[in-house]
Amino acid sequence: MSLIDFKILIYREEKKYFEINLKEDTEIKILSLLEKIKTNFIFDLKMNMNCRQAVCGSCAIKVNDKPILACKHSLSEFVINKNKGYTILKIEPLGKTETLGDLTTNMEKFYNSFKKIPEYLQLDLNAKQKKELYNNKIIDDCIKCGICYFICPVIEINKNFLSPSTINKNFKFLSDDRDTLKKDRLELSKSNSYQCIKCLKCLEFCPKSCDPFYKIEKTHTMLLNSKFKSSGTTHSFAIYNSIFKTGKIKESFVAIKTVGIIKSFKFMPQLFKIIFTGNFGFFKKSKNLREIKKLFFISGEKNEK
Amino acid sequence: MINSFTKTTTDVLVVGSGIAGMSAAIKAKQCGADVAIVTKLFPTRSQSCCAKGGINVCLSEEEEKDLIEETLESAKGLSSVDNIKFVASYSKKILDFFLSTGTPFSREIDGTLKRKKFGGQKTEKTCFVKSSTGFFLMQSLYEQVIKNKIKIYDNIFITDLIYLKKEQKFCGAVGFNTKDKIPLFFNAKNTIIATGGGASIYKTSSNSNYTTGDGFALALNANIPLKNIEMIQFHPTGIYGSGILVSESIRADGAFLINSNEKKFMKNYSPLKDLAPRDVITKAILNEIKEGRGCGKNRDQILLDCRHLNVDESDSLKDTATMLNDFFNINMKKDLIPIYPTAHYFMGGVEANKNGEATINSAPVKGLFVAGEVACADIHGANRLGGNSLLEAAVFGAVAGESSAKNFTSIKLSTPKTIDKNLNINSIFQNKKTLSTLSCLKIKIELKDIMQTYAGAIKTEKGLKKGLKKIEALEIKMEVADKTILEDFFETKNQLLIAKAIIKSSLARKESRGAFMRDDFAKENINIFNIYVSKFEDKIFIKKEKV
Repeated sequence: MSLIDFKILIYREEKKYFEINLKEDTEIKILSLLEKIKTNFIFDLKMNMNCRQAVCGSCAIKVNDKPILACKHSLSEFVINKNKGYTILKIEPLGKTETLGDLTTNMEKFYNSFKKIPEYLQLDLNAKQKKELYNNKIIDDCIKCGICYFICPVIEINKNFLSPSTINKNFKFLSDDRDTLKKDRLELSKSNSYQCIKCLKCLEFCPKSCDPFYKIEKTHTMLLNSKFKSSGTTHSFAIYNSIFKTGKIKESFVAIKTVGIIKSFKFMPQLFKIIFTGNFGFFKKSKNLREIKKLFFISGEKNEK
Repeated sequence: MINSFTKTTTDVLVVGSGIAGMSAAIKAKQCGADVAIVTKLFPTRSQSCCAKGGINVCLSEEEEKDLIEETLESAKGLSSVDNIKFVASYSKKILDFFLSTGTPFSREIDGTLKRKKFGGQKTEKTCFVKSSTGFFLMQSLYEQVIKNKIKIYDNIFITDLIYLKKEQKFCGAVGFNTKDKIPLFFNAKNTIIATGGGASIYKTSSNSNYTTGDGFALALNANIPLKNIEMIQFHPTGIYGSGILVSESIRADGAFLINSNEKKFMKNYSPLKDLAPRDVITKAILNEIKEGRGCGKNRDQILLDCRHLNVDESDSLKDTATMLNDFFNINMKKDLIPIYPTAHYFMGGVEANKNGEATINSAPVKGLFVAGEVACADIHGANRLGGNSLLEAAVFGAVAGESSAKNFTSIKLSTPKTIDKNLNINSIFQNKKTLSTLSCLKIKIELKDIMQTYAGAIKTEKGLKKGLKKIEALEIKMEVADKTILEDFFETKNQLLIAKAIIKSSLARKESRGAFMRDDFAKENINIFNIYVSKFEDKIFIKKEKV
């Protein structure tokens, strides 16, 4: 047990934080600290504290801008300098714009994001033998804490984007052989999953290691292997072919292949930028094209013949 | 007055969204009724998610016989053979339902279901998903709720059931939205209470903080008695200090308990050793501590040894190991796990019959059904076997759903003209914002301490009486407590009421039976009694009835 000075800032309203100076044991969990604060300092603090074991997913908050489950993390993880001065703990709700008061977040939008997909397994009971049909190995540990949703930078600007959590859920059923709604699921994700900017935040902060980013990538692979075409899939193919043929990502080639010649005129300003930065390449191939092609063969993506 | 409430009408109203609640809603909807789930938490955040061990399933007649025999033996005379038989025979249906929803039950390499033997069982009957069975069952149920397009109203706290005196039936419930404090009235032909238990009333509890026994309070306030509410199971292996559970499945895998002499002691207490029923192990642990063989600094804990187990071999062990590592810095391969019995499950509750109807003196109450931990369907009696709670919740949830949707077209929806002045909901209209320096959470914590000290696993008359006095003092304090967060206020009020009911009921049971242990009456009575607690005009009454 080691006691350390903390300066705790609790979010109450916009630009209004409640400040507490405390000497606290670094081994205790953030949730226990909040419980203590609610008992002794802020009697009307709105917060969630339910299962205490990262199963219910209700205590997701931000501490020093890091989204966490309060029950899972202890104070020691936020101590920067043990010997000097005090450690600042800035405790805020998961979504500041969506707060229901103090540290609680309105999850309505998050829950509604799941409504975009059929959130259940659709079985065709006549299709296969019953035993095989019932044997499920796909496990989804998502506890719907909302961390990946509220940390995702795309959701703020693009309402059509299927959130990481929704793609994660969709993938659970997509990878299930028994599900009969595969086409609908792929159709739904064909353009709405390609808006991911691959910032990897969902992967970094998921408290249950669900890795939504991996599921997004896997969904893309499934889409590429399917008949469904969208600007996302053609873009991927264009990049793939560009690298295979020239050893480079030739932006001009990729743009034309993705949206067609006429539409690519829209990108004229970007085109000039590409020319200035020297990425245009003017049909030059990479010097190491042979080595690059070898990578395709090694990975099994292409046959040497 | 009723006009100030936002009204929602439905055929079947389900209060609570755990395994029992969602099972009931799905079944009722499949029977054609219009169903609404009302819950204070979003469904996937319910206490049912924390259930770890597994669900008992009988795949053959022999297994059914075994389960009936084992459950009866462990219930110590307080259960009904008929009801247990019914649950055992229904279990296969429940398994089939969960399999068809895609629940990823743990399996052997050849695809057959993995099964374990839990405490008090002779043969392997418990199916499981890793060490988080409840969580995965809940996931499946929630998906089915979505599939069946059942309406979910979350963030709603139900304060009272509405009873029509003239027609002598229940017609729904009133409550408020915790987001904006808007009063709501859910008018229904039938109401199902499936709000779960209330073990978080104890300081050391395996239950989540919001498992506050609101359903028990709803029933008491609506003049419905509670049966054997003093029968509370203390799970032997809660982690010392926090009370969070180390699943019984770990002992099924070969873990054992040791005392300060580093000796296995369960062989001295039961031939089933570390897989004895929970009440036997809890009693043994407390006895070891009492006789000075406890471990730790204060010699008040026992150790669970699982160092010899191959963690990588099984999913459920891996799951437990991750939990221990993440939350308690315990390495299962090297460290011993400090444990202490933790309040876990309420065997008693609102008396229910085989159809899931709430009953008073064995007569069904019109318009009211109960299922899950809040109900006392005479299955667990004085001690519950591992794996039986999920089974009971799923079975009686489905049964209550089915019977509540039966003949719903022929029932007329009745609406009250006024709301009774005595109902709890009225206090939300008294909008006096008083500045208070006493938080409800502080009272809750004090109550937890009182219950742990005076009404814990082993009770005495002296302690119980002292505890009762302290609770009455807390009730007075409650009048000046902060009311800014209404749900906190009502939860605390409910907990105080239940605490009183538990203590009064405990005082009336002058014996030790199963999980209920009295220091001053250490033996079982020859005569078996059921104890009923009821409330009338703020006073609590006790009735003893011979079985």
